[in-house]
Formats: sequence, structure tokens, C-alpha cells
Amino acid sequence: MPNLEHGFNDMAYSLLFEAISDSDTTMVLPAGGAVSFLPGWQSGRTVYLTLTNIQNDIEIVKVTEIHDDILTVERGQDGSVSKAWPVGTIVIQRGVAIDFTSFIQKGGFRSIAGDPNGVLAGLYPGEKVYDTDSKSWWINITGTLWKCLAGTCIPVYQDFNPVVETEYTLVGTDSTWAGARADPTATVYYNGGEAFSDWAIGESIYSGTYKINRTFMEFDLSAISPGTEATQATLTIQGYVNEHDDVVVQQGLQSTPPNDSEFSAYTGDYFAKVTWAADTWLNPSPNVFEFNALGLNYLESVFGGNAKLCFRGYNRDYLDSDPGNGDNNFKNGMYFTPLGHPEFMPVLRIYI
Amino acid sequence: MTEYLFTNNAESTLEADIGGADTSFNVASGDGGLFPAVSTGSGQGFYIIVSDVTKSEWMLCTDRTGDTLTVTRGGSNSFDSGATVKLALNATILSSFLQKGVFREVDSDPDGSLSANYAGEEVYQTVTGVWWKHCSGTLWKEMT
Repeated sequence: MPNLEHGFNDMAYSLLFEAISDSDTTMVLPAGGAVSFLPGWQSGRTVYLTLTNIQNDIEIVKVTEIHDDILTVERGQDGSVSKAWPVGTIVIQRGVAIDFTSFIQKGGFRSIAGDPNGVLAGLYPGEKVYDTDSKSWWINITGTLWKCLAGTCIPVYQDFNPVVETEYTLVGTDSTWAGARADPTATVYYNGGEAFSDWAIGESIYSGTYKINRTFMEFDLSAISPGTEATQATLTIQGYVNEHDDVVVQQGLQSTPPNDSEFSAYTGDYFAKVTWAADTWLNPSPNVFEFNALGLNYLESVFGGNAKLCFRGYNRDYLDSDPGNGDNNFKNGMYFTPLGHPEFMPVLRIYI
Repeated sequence: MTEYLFTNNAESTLEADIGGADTSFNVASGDGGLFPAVSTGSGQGFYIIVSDVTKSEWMLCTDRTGDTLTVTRGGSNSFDSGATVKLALNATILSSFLQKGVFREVDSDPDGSLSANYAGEEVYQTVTGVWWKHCSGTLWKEMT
């Protein structure tokens, strides 16, 4: 049921014909005095009146009925206190706070991250709220019942596993940090078809030798038409055994599949970063990369084709921070293509 | 945009003199509660007009803690203790209200090209008879 419309009348002015106590709910006006209120008061409208005097005492009342020159009212409204008023008290319509609060202000709306239906109570029927997750608008029907008003309120998504043959971990090796980061003749630590790696991403130094592992993979997104808008994307990778570092994902430039010389086949800022989590065999620990705007733009640019991604350790490799001379390692393991356990494979989920 | 708040009969006086650059002051002790409760960063506020016998100045209050108001000045007047401080309507507030049947019309799809006058604006595409609702930036979604 809609709210009652607030009514206004410039000419609404009269005087009390009879005194009222602080609890009376009817006010008698002089003969013809109610006429000034009639144009603004109709059944189904809300009209607030103000009783006042020369001392500027105030009481706000809500009109519920007008019959001849008798107003039926609710006393002490909108923060005012009911009190006794004498004959001759001024009865006037002014705009009061509750009137102005009833107006919708430009740009004034609530936002919610996610579907409000069944969760969020509407402030009034017809309220419109903005869903920041799906970038859509909802309109309130009643209570917590909402319907989609504009946009795709219930996001549609598609899941993609990496192309197995494109899953590679390359390891750069050198006696210097800079040499390891730029190793032009890296070797393959993992290639497509194996189940998992205890060191897919990260760095180590041992007996003066640096090693840096970077993982590459590719997703076939030909099922999504070019020009489609992506509203959100997540990439979930199950961690395995080692969890020593923050990990970032960025755009890859590798061949299909990668070759040894493409250890540095990546570009741009990272799309997402997670603090790695891992567990033992068959005890997956999901690592969820939430793609930023840069990542979404990249995915959109390759809809209809393949997305190439590169995973690197953040705190040392990505930031180019030498882990030092002492023996140390910062390894992060992951599941790739565990035979018999496809649910452990990396999953790229794209909301469109 | 600021969401404007209202209370009835919110009127007090300055507790002390203020200079032309002051952005925080107290109203008379105990009168702060006459004004709406608002805090910095909430996106809410209310307009007050501060006046004496020779001048007046609009100020937007964006934070009220007890009797202390933090404001954005509309001018740079100095006022003495005892000047009137009153919550009031002004053109900015009235212009912020949506009016029945008032909207922009566009010829073409606004998505990706049209800047909104305010977040959540609704425009009517005359050629197709479609309503669009603004999301952010130049992002618009068709209303179903």
C-alpha cells in the first residue's frame, strides 16, 4: 500500500473557536474556518497543521478528518508536545520537518552489495536501491520483497577451467637476484597434465643460488561474445602444501603452450592479489582472486578468444625485493589438474 | 550529493564570537539537540542561516556533536556571540527535490555517453520509448 501523499495549501489559516486540552482530538474552528483547509485536505492525503501563538509556542497536529468546521487530529506530532490551547489560537499550515523528509532528494538512495530481496526492509513502498555488486537497481514492493528495476539484478556467470596443456610453471635460476628474475633460459618445473605442484609460485635462495617460480595458464573464453560486459570475475585456485607469500595474477604474454624463454612473458599491473593458503593432499584451501577494473577490462578485451595469465609472488618477485643472502624460501603450491578430482582445478568465474 | 535533514523550530544563538574563517562553533549550551544529528562522512547535512541585525550567512552543517556544529561557510562574515543560528530552507534544498513529471529526454541510448545530473537519475529515450536509470559515471541501465 502506498504512503499517503502530503497535501499543502497556501491559504490554510484559521483560529480555534473553542479551547482545547492537551488530550482533545477535535478542534472547532469558526463558522467557515475549515474552508481554507479543504482544498489541501482530501481523503488519502496527509496534512500537518501548526498551532502557535504570539510567544511562538508550537504544536504540530496531523489532520485525519474534516467535518464542517471540526478538525479531527492526532496531537503532538513531529517532535512537538501536545498542550492546552485557548480560544483564538492560530491554526496554520507550515511546511514541517516530516513534510520535507517525505520528499525524495536527487541522488538520495541507499546502496547494497548484493541482492536485497528477502533481506533488506524497504523504507517505503517503491523505494529504489542500487546493488553495487551487479550494478543494477531494485524497487521495493512491500516489506523485504524487491523486484528488479534496471540492469541484470541476478548476475549470470560462466565458469572456465584452464586449458590443461597451457598450465606451466617456469623456474628462473641464477647466482644473482636480478639474473634469476630475468632468466632468459628458464626451465620447466611443471607442465600440463601433472596433478599439483608444491612450488608453483614463489622464490628461494639456497647456497647462493636464487630460484624464482612463475606459473602461466590460459583460459578459453570463446564462449563469451566479444563486446560482452563483465561485471565481476573471480579466479579460485586450491592451495597445496606451501603457503609462504602473497600472490598476484597479471596479464600473460606467453605462447600456447609457453616455452622456456618466456619466463618474463607478462605485462602491466596486477589484476588481483591474495595471501596464499594451502593444506595437505586432498584438503583444498581456496585462494580467490577478485579481479579489479584493470583485470575486468583485460578479460573483456579477450572475450571470444583466450585469456592468458601469469602468477607471481608479490612481496619479492613482483616488488623486486631481494630476499637476501641467507638460505630461505617462499613457496606457494597449488592444484593443477588432479586426476579424479576435477573439482580442485582452477576456476575462472566471469559474471556477465 | 548531500542528503538534507530537517527538524522543526531549530533555532539558537552563537555561544561565542566567530571569525570569517571559522568552520566550527558552539550554539547556546543545551540547544544542539534542536538540530538534526549528523556526522562527518555520512553524506548528510542541514543548512543554517546565521544572522544579526546587519548581515546573514548560509552555512551547511555536516557534523553536529552536542552543541558543536562543523560547517561549510557560504561567506566570510564575522558574528558576535548571541547572533541567531536557525535551521532553514533555501533554494539549494528545494532544488534537490524530485518534481513530479520532471525528467530529461534523450534521442539516443545514453549508456556510455551521457553524464548524469545526479546519481540515480532517470531519463526517457524518446525514439524507443525506453526509460534508463543511471548507475555511475556514464553507465546507464534500461528499466524493465
